[in-house]
Amino acid sequence: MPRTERIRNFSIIAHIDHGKSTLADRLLEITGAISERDMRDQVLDTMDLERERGITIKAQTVRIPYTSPDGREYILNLIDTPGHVDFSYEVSKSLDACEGALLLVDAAQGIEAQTLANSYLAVGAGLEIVPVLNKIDLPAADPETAAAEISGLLGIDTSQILLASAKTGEGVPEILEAIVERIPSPSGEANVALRALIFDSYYDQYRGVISSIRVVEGELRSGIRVKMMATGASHEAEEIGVLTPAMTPVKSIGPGEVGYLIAGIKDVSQAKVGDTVTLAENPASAPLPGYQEPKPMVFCGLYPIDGGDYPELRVSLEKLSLNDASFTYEPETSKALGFGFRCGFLGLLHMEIVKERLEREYGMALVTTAPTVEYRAVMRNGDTRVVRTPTDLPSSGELDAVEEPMVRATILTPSEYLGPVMELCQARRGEQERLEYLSQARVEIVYRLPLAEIVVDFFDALKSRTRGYASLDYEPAGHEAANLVRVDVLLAGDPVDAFSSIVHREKAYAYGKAMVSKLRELIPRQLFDIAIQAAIGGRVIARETVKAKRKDVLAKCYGGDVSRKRKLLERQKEGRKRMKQIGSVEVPQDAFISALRIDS
Amino acid sequence: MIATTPVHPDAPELADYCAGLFGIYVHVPFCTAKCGYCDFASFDGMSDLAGTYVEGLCQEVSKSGISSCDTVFVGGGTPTSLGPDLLGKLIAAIPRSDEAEVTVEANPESLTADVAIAAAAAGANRISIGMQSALPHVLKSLGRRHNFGAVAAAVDAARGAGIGRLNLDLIYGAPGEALADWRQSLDAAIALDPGHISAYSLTVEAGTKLWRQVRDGHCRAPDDDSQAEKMSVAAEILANAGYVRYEVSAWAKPGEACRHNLMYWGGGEYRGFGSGAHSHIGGTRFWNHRDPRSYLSDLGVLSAGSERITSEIEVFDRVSLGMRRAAGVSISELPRGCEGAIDFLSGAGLVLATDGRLRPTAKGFALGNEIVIRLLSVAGSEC
Repeated sequence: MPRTERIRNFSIIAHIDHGKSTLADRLLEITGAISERDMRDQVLDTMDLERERGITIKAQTVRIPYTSPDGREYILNLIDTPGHVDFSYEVSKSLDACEGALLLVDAAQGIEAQTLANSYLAVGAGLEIVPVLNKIDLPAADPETAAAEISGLLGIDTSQILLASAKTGEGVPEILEAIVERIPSPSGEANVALRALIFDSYYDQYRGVISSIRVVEGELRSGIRVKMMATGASHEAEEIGVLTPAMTPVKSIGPGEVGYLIAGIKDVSQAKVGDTVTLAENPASAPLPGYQEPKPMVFCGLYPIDGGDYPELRVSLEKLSLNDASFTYEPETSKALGFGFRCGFLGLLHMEIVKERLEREYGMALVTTAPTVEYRAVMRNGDTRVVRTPTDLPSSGELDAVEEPMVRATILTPSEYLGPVMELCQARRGEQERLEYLSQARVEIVYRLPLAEIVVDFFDALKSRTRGYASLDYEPAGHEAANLVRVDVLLAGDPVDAFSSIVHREKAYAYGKAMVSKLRELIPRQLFDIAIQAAIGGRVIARETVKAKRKDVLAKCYGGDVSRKRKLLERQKEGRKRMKQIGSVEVPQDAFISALRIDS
Repeated sequence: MIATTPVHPDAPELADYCAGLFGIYVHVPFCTAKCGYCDFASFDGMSDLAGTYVEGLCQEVSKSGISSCDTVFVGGGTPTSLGPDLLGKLIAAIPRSDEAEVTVEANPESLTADVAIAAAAAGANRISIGMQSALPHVLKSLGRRHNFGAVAAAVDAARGAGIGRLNLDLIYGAPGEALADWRQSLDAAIALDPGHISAYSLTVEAGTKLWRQVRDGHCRAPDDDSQAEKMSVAAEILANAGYVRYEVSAWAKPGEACRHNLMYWGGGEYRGFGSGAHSHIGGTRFWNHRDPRSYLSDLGVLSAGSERITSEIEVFDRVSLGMRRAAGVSISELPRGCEGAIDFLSGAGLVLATDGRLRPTAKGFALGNEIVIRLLSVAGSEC
């Protein structure tokens, strides 16, 4: 067991593309923590999805042995954090496991909203911040401006800011030295009741749940019986170990150390992020502070395209939830789509990830309905009902008010795009709370916005208005009453519940019009005319028609063409399978989401 | 044999009879100029190869060991561009029965009297002329070099050589063709009194010059609605003139249906000679190299590709080819479990189920893909 004064626990706070994975790779390489043979790009991003999207979804940790130039040996634990606003709770727990953080900023781009938000989280958690300007080898790098910004925002002297290029390795040895010199070693008594923080849990099909833990005080020994303080679950610590990054079993983990725990747990909801591990025999009197139940913010319906796949979908969701305690699902029935599930997610990215994993890893063909948020319907009789599906909104006669969830959104943008950004926020019913120039070139704006207005395409709209330069972070900010109505969509005269949306009354007419014209583009011509209507409470507010198709046949088909034309027809036939039959109408699988992407 | 052959172009008996014929297809890959919409294996600027090519093709025929067939179709490219001597030599080299239907494809400008006489002397008894349109501006937009006068002259040349069975190919939907233009082309074709008329919807095939023009915004692809309109105008005008529609794009007077094509659509067997030619024999489809030079280097000894017809493909082809015909397909030969699809398609007015056969209606001819996809999208898709 290493002495605590030779341990440094740190994470890297960085925006997507600012070079976090490359820096991690370089640290592992320079210290020799990983052999050249095992080296591949983005060692720490293990999921295919992470590599493809260039983001970190699950936190990874790695133990790096480091000998400083003065000959002293250290253990550096790099605790990787998820890099997206959907996972800010997971980020905060990863930070809680550290004493310091590298703040990695692209010297050409400057600091981004989410990075800033995470830096504030880190400062709030008492972490020592080591700022690093990365990519200084790029011609567009402007370290002086970026350094001035960081200094202004975080109150750090510019002399403390390191310059590096993770790509070339320049400045990386200095980063290692700064880690051991500036970041405090952990403290914590060994001879007290065990308290260890779970900052990540994932499900492995062979070993069950594997939790990443940080021992705060006490000692965790292999084979001992442990207890999760939030869930009360008690298990035997079958294996404990450290990540080098390969799993390497050890006999015990003491205060300040980081490692993993395998305890025969079959479901991650038994070992949730933020929970405290203690000993079953000699439990701690209080858990570590700050545990929260994961709270879904965005909901959508997931339905199998082929109704016969419903049982398979249920099994897939069960399996997936073993690995993801923050997503929820409950059975739901739609008149249009049949049996499916209403699922809750931390945010839109989380939703997309779950859907993609279901399709890729479990081979499901799914229809996703429009994402929605959790409304509160305040009834005339004083009751409050939670509304997660538009069709659950009670009729206006029974309603006293509808309250919608709000967020406080922080946007950082180059000042030249301030106008368009404000217009966008205004159009999304935003209320400005604050506006501050970070430098002549950059502005921080804070808006109070309805969550519903940002879940679908706000980020895309923000990016397109600022040529990709603006960044966004948001946090929940309570509920607020609003004048909301449900807009229904009828196909061939029949309401399709899956297309219903809750919309602000002032926007309902424009929304209905845009929705039906978008659907007219999305629904292919079929054998009959198809009327598409939008309605509020039975009153039609917009209508379009998809005219019946009259010709689709291939003009010629001779001997030489048979194989080629067959392939053409087979492709069309396969395309049909991705259509959902709703009444007499065939609707493309992605229409339920695409219809919502109405340019505003 | 012709006397005993059913004469009605849309008769199931004729369709079934032709499905049992053995055909030979001969490909002539040369053209004076490649048309903008054409994606067949044809090449311009290679006519110096013609002599070698015919020589090689004759070798491929003799090496094949095939001793006879019931139908011959010499297509292209432009077979008539070979000139009288080479064309005659090529036709004469094809083994066939005395009653065989022997069709030669021709371009109006190259079907001269001497070519027609040579073809007839070598055994051709049917000529298919690429008329495409009667209107100069439509021909121009299709990139064709002839005029309607050349079509009339070609018809005279064929008849003068004693070839009475004629087809005129028409194309509708060229950029700039009005509905009235199309009617005029149909009337002009009918006035020449061929026994057979084919009317094809212009298709923008990937990789063609037309496709590039559409992609680059220089012209617009014909839209399905106006094409549907032109197809129904063709059906009406041709029916009034006594032509019977027996396939999506084919109309004939009694006794004039093309047996070779009915053989294709009935899933019959055939052997293709020449570059890019496809064959269907013994449950396999295979094809020669598309490029004439590659073809000449091995003369079809090694096919460029092949495909084993599985039972699934067999069903697919039977339905997708068979339902192109007015005679349709025997209901007993449709995939099991497709009763629901038949009911739906009947209800939508695309097919008629009578006398144990499922046939396309006029509406169904235009929506053939819908018919095929629905009939084949049933569980199992096996017979």
